[in-house]
This record gives sequence, structure tokens and C-alpha cells, in this order.
Amino acid sequence: MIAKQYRLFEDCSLRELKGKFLVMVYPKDGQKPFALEVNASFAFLFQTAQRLEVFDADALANAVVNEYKIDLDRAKEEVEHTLEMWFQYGLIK
Amino acid sequence: MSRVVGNDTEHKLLALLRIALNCSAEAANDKQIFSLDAEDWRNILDLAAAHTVTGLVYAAVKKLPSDLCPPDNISLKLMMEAERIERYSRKVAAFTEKLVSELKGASLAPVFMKGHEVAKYYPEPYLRVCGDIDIYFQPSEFQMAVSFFKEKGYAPQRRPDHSFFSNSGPGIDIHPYYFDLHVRLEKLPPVPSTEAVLLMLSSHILKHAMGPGVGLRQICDMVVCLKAFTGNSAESNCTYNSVKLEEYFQAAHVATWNKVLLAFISRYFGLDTAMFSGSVNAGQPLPKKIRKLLSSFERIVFSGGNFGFYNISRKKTATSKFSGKRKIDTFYRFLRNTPFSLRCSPREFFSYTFSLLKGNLD
Repeated sequence: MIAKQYRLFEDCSLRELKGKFLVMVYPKDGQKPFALEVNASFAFLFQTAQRLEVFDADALANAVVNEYKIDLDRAKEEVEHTLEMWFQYGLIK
Repeated sequence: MSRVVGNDTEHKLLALLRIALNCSAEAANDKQIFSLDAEDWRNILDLAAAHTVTGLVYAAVKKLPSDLCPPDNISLKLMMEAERIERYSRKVAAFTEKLVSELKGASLAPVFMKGHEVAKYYPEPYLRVCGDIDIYFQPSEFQMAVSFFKEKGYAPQRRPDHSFFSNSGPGIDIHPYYFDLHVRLEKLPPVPSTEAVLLMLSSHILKHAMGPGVGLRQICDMVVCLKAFTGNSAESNCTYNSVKLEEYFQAAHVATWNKVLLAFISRYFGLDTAMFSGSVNAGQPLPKKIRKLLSSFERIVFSGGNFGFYNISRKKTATSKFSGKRKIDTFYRFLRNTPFSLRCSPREFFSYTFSLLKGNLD
């Protein structure tokens, strides 16, 4: 079950160049840093999460609705899918 | 701008550096310069790495229109490298801030030199590749400073030029002399001052040109300072006294050399160096002596890369089991560059050679 409140893994960053997005993750458990090439919507959610610092799915969904003008239910689906991906990659605890 | 460099890759890299440093009057969307295929970009990035200016290439690419950018796989590698450079620069900046606080707590007044002094004048300071941290202490404090670093566990080791080096952390070079010059101190600018920074950078580049080699990163440092100190940059309000600066270059017997350096900067970075003291006036042909020295300097820069490590023979010394191989390579380079060095600044050439020999024999 995904926890309600999240915080981004502290040591990760997002870089953008001409529409290409790269998330760099620096694991603290001694594992090698890695990079993920991501799309624009992933990057938008990532930046929103960085700005909020502590967030839940609803906060992200509302940001998506405001930015992309889609309905809330669809936004929540997108956010849930993204959060599961972030959890899988260790970007959130 | 006339094309005088050896190959097309160098020409393109310089164009990118001009964009990164906001020197360029040419448009970043100049298709003639930037219509490049994947191999062109790989060659540029290889050369940029040799000259430790990859971060600046990234800064320039950000300004290019999308249709002139590198292919995706190369862009991603460039982004990762820029991330690595910036992350390390920030780490070193945090380390330096803490170090300064500790030094001041011990009543020491560090003066940062070279890269760590000039990085702040770059449009994006953290994209400048960091080297060792160079710190100068006044003569009255130098021994105390060395003791400070010993007590803190940095284990500084004495070098032939009387500086101390610690490879703890990012590498710290502790200098008893601010200038790489053999001139009485009263003839030189006060430290710190903008005149001191310009003279220090210029003479430092000269010393590397005389010996192991100098790369575009050091020259970019000079470019950003010249822009900053003449009000051509948003990064600084510093100015310098041009009459006094010319006197200092003359007193230090490096005025000829400085003309060569400014001619190189004017030619390859597009700065109007006529406004800089000691430069040959814009619109006038270079004197024959300066032209010939400029040609030699171009060879040194484009064959050597970062402190000469771009050169194959120099690279081999890094992995050689024979510890003297690097010294022999350095000696060979000194010999090869002797005609250039003697004509730029004979006094500095002889003084520098003598002090290095003495330092190695001590």
C-alpha cells in the first residue's frame, strides 16, 4: 500500500536540455548513481514534488489539473502511476 | 574572425566557448558553424574534455536552437557530464566555504587564486571544471597556515616551488607567493586587487605555456576576468587602473607576453582587447614579433590541452612506472618551448628554470 505522505529522496536532481529530461539519483546506500531519461509530464511532477517538499497524491493531482487542464480523476490516475514508478526507482520513501 | 586554428573541430569548439562566455557577436543559430553530425559532436566533446571545458560546451548548447543541437544520445551524455561537473563544483564550493570559516576562526586571511577566484565571473560558475583549490597567505601568516592544515589532518607536502600541496578532499595548494613572477614585490600590484588578479592569471598562463602546456580553461578564466573588470559583464562591477596595470606588466617584464595573450583572446574570443592596457590597438596589424609568438602560442595551446595532458606523450607519463618520466617529459617541453619563452620573457624564463632546478635538487 502506498503511503499517503511522500518526500522525494533527498539526493536526486532533474536536468533539462531542449526538451530532454534527465533525473539523476545518488543512492545513499553506496550503490552507484544512475540516470533516468524521463518525459515532460514526469519532469513536471518531479519539479512539483521538489517545490512542495512533502506532498501527497492529491497535491500532485491538483497541480496536474492546473497545468494540463485535464479532469481530476484522470490526473489522479496519472499521479498514482507516476508515484508507483518513483517508488520502484527509489525516488520516494 | 579569421580562421587560423589547425582544424575544424577546434574552430567549432572555440565558437561554442564564445557563446558560452557571452563573447560572441555571431548568432548562436549560425547554421554554417553549427550544422554538425554526430561524429563532429563527438570530436568536439573529446576536445572539450581534453581542455576541461565540457561544462562550457553544455552552457553553449543550451543556447543553440533545437535543430542545431547534438543528437539525442550525445545530448544525454553531455547532460550527465554537466551534472557531474556542477555537482562536484557545488561540493567544492561548500567545502571551501567551511574552510574559509575555519581559517578566519584561526585568525588567518586566505586569498583565493586562479580558478576559485575567477569562477564567480563566469555566467554559470558551477559549470567551470574545478581543479585544486589554490590559496595564498601573506608571508607573515604562511607558516601558521601550513601548521593549521597539518593540525587539521590535511598532511600538506612541500613542493619544489616552496608551496605546499594536500591531496585531501578536492586538493589544496597553499602558496607563499601570489605571483608566479621573479620580481620585487614592491613593483607588483597589492593583493588582493583586480590588477593583481589579471597579472596573476596572465603570468600563470605564461608559466604553463613555457612548460607542461596550457589549455583553453585557463584562457577562458582570463577572458571572463577581462570582461568582468572592464564592465563588459553582468557578473562584476570591478574595474582596474589601466595605466597602473601596464606599469605592472612592464615592471614584471611580461608586457610582450601579455600582448601575445591578448592577441590570442582577441582573435579567438572576439573581445575588443584594444581597450585593455598593453594591447596592440584594434584595426592595426600585429607587429611581426607578436604575430610569430602568437603562432607559437597557438601550437602550444592546441597541441597540449589541459596542462599538456592532451598530448599523447604527456598522457603516457601519468601511467608510467618510472617516476622520473613525467619530469623528463616536462624538461623536454621546456626545451621545445625555449625559443617562445625566451622571446616572451627572457627574464622569467631564466628565473623560472633556475627556481625549478633548485627546487628539484633541494
